[in-house]
Amino acid sequence: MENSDTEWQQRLRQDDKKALAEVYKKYREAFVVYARRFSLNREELLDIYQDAVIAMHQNFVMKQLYLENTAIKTYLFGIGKYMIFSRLREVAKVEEVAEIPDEIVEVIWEKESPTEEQRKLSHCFGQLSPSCQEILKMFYYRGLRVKEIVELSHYKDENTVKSHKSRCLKKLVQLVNKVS
Amino acid sequence: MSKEEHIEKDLKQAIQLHEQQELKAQLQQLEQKGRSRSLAFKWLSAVAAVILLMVVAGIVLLQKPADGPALYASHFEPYPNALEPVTRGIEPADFRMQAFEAYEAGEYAKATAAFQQMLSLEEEPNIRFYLAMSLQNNSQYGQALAKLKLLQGSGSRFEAQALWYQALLEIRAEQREEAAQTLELLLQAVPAYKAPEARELLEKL
Repeated sequence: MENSDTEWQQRLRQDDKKALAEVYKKYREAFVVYARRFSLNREELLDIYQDAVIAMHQNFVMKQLYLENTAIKTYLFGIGKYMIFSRLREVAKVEEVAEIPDEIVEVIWEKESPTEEQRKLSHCFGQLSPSCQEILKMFYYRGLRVKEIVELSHYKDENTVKSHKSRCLKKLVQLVNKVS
Repeated sequence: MSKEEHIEKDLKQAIQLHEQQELKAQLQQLEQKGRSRSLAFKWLSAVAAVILLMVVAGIVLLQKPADGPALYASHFEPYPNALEPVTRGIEPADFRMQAFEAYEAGEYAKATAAFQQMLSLEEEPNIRFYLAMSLQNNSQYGQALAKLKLLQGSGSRFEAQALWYQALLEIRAEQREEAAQTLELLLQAVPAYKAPEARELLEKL
């Protein structure tokens, strides 16, 4: 595995959006070239590629993924391939491509359909202040502990983090109640 | 379970969904930027191509006038003194001799002045031809051409030569139609003089 691969993994685990853009640009054309065999046009392939990059990124962030024997590219293309097959199944084209052999192993990525409650909550979350969004993201999305949040942020101590998080949650509840 | 606990349970998925939408928008924007840059690049390429075309056309057009002088230079040779043989070592007795001595020595400005002085006293077509030749050798092309044109039908013994040099000067001035007519006239009037060269030039014109 290349050094840049290890570095990218580290940065992706830290939810580094620049690293995400770098990976996206680095493998975009290679993905389009690889995926041409699947009878999808460039626009559809780029749409899938974007979803695959996002899925990969979220796996790094939320699951703190470590790829030890697989390169980012292979992993990303594996998710992309899985998503292409899902898309082709939707339009019943899968038979014509299923037997094409290639070196990419599919990475199963089951997208859970969000419930109506979760959609509403997501919408309300978007209405919170940037600092509230940031602290809730670190807590719930990245799964960081209070101590880690203090180290990574400007908060002076753990108590400040806890009280700010509590205020943000209350605000979120208010917003949800307002929508309901 | 309180409302807050209920929300906490769903919050991970809710933030994940929110992040997915944010990231998707960012990547789409990234793609759009790339396309705009690509479009801008295509426009710049098109503009550059047009400029290049204009530059090339400009060079071609600028080079075209250079064809005349080049053609002139490849055919022009100073006409020798065939009128007044100069005897070396003897002090020239008059203007006439001084003029031709200067002409033979390549002192064309001096020769021009001497020939003009002679012509101010008496019109003589043969001397007018050598005045034209002195001017031409002195790079006074416009004046030389004007003098040569006056020699047509003048009865000068150098009428054929005058037509030849007139044609060369017209070529140099990019007066190609006039030059062709002059060469045609030369071929008709004096077929024995410079006929192969005249035909060659006519082909190039």
